[in-house]
Amino acid sequence: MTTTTSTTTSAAPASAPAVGVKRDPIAVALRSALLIGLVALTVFFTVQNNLFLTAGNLKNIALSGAVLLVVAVPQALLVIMGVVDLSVGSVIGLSGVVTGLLIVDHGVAWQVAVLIGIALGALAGLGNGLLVSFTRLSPIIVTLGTLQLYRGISQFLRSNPPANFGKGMNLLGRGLYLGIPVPVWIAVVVFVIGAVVLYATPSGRYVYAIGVNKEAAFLSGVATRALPLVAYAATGAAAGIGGVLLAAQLDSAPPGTLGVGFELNVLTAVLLGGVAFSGGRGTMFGVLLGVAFLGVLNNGMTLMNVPYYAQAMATGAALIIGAGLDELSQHSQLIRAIGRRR
Amino acid sequence: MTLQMVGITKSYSGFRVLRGVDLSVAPGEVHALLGPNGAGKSTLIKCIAGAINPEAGSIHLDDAPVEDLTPTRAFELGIAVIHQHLSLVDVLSVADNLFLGHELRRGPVINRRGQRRIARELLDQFGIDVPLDAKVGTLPIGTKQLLEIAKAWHRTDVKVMVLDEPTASLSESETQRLFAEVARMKQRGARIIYTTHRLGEVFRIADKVTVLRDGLVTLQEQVATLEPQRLVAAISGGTAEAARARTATAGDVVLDVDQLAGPRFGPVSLQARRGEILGLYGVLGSGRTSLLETVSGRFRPTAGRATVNGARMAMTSPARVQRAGVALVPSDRQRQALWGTRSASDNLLLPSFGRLAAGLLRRPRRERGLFQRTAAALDLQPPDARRAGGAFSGGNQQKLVLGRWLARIDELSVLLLDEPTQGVDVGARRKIYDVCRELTERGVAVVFASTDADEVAALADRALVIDGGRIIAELTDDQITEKSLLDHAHQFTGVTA
Repeated sequence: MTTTTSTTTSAAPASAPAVGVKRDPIAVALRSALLIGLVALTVFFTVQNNLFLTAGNLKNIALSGAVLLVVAVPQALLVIMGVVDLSVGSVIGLSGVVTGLLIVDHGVAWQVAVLIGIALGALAGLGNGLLVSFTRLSPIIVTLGTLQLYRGISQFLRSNPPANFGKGMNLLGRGLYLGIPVPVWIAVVVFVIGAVVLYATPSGRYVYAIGVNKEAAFLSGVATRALPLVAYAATGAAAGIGGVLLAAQLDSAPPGTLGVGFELNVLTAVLLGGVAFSGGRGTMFGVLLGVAFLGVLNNGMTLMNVPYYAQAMATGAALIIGAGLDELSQHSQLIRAIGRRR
Repeated sequence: MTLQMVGITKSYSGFRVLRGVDLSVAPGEVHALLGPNGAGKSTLIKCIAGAINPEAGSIHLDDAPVEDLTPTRAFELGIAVIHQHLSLVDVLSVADNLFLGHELRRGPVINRRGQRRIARELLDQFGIDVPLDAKVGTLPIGTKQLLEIAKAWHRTDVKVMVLDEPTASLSESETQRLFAEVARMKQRGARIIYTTHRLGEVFRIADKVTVLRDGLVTLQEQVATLEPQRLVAAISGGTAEAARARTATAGDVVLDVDQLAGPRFGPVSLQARRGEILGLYGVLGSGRTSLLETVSGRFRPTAGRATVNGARMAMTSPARVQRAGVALVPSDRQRQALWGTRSASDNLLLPSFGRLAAGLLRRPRRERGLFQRTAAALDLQPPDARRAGGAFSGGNQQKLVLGRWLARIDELSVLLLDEPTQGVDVGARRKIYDVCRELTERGVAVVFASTDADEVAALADRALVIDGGRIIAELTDDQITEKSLLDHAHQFTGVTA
């Protein structure tokens, strides 16, 4: 290996052995850990429980993962930019409740109510974005505040859950199109839009640029305020869609509980999927894997009658292990060094 | 009684970066370690500092072999390394920084009075004129550097002091102070290893010089017998830089800055003409960075105006200013310009993605084409679009930043560069100069600021000397010499006898 370098001339040859992290097998293995884990988990549950790999159960997994994915996609864009929206659980509640009460209390057509619900979500997200982009407040503080604020508004608007939304909403929540639940189709569309934005538009490059070095992005002419603002609005709209879908699935929108804790599930899926909480790093495929992993894990454990506390422990452990492996994959050189020393 | 390194060899992933390097430094010797980026200087320094262990070769200090060196062990032995990126904590005070991690204690609490007394003595000894309670983040970088040296000095009995590019961001007066300090350490018998990209400094301060190239020693000689041309040849691996030819065929005024004032500068009026390279020479803190950054839209001006091609320019954000045809290559590459983990393609094309896109969607083929053309024009090494920005050498990182605007030359009227060759090797520096000249030939006005009189003399068609946030002198053509720049900046002229 070393003999080839002895002929090196003054100009660095283009074929110089680039220390390409991409080709490093250890890094690749570590980065694929989530995929390997997902496959292993699927095999395990299939062997353990013959109900797991059935069409009906897979539909359940997809249905539970759909809403999570809808919100996780724009949330991932925010996290890659180095910000976060912790209020999505309450935006889900607000949109679901408003959609529900418009249908039930005011006789608004369900299609109109749904659109209003989603627009309200976008507005709530825009509020977060304005506060984050145009004040010096930390995104965590802002959205932790609106998490409470938006929840309070839902409960102020209606104390008891609106319910019985009618046929249209039932179709939206549980209906099938080509044998696949409608929410799953919606999730697919959102995911494709997210992937196109991140990989096929200039804005996707700006998302990473802001996350890696915001100052450099600003000096290079990137709209470092407008882009997070738009992403916050999109996250709010996505949470609005999520709220409508959840309300439709339940055929009820309890103001005190709809979407409670959802923000943490979304964040877990996003971070498990390899998006760096410090920003600058992450992929849409990773987010999809993160959502799928959580869905399979929870569904499989529920099928096996694993008590809730143990499910929580497993989810928490998965997040920490996943994040740990991801961290290691960023330092594969180090692992090699340790390996050599032994 | 020396520091002796024999046959030091080190490889990374099978690529040999050091191939049997010998280096010895006697007490009281200042040894300049030179070479282009990627030559192995940093690796050699890491071996001395114990940050890495060489695969072959030996290190002796005072005739005792030094084995299995770790940074802690090296420090205990009296090997202090002052890095380019300083290890001071910005939010702590001067006194707290000097003692960080080694606090003086009285029982369980910090002995603040004792610390302050020692800190005061130390600052006086090093001639650092700052309050003990000043937050380090508010100090100029030259002062921070001296603090770092003082910190090492009081913590260990310094036998070997390694200064890695200490003058990269220092002004001339700060450099002089640093050199005075180096001379003092030298008298006290320290062995000093010193890396720099400013060759003039070698003759001012070093006793001996070693040039590394591709991991080999290409020159090792006493400075007394060394001619500058040979030094440049050893570093660049080619012939010495040709004498510059000024091609001042300046055209119309492109950028007209009128009575502009902003943070720490102004009012300033200046004009840049099509086809000319305008150099701003000023020491650190003279306001030249603030001036350039304000014109580029980084800060809002407090007074005054600027026009580009006759149209008034709104200086409210870099994006607005860039749309008017003015762009900046900032001075602090790592903090202000580079996306270390993103690809070379992203780094080079970021301001161009929008223009290359068709509607909302990117056009990968056009992007690849523009990347290849620009990388070739800059001689980017390696010309690998997927390599991470941070994996390039300093010189090639700077090419990526400069290339951002080269890729948009059609929309560019004025290019501002702040310290364009900081931490850049000789070859890349020459390329950057060439690109600046090419830009002027294509009708762009180039305005650059430098603390390096050498650089201003080499590159500028017209030079402005800045001090205290104002322009204090204008030099043209043959007047632009290192000496006249220094004279004006330090106001040796105008003092009537």
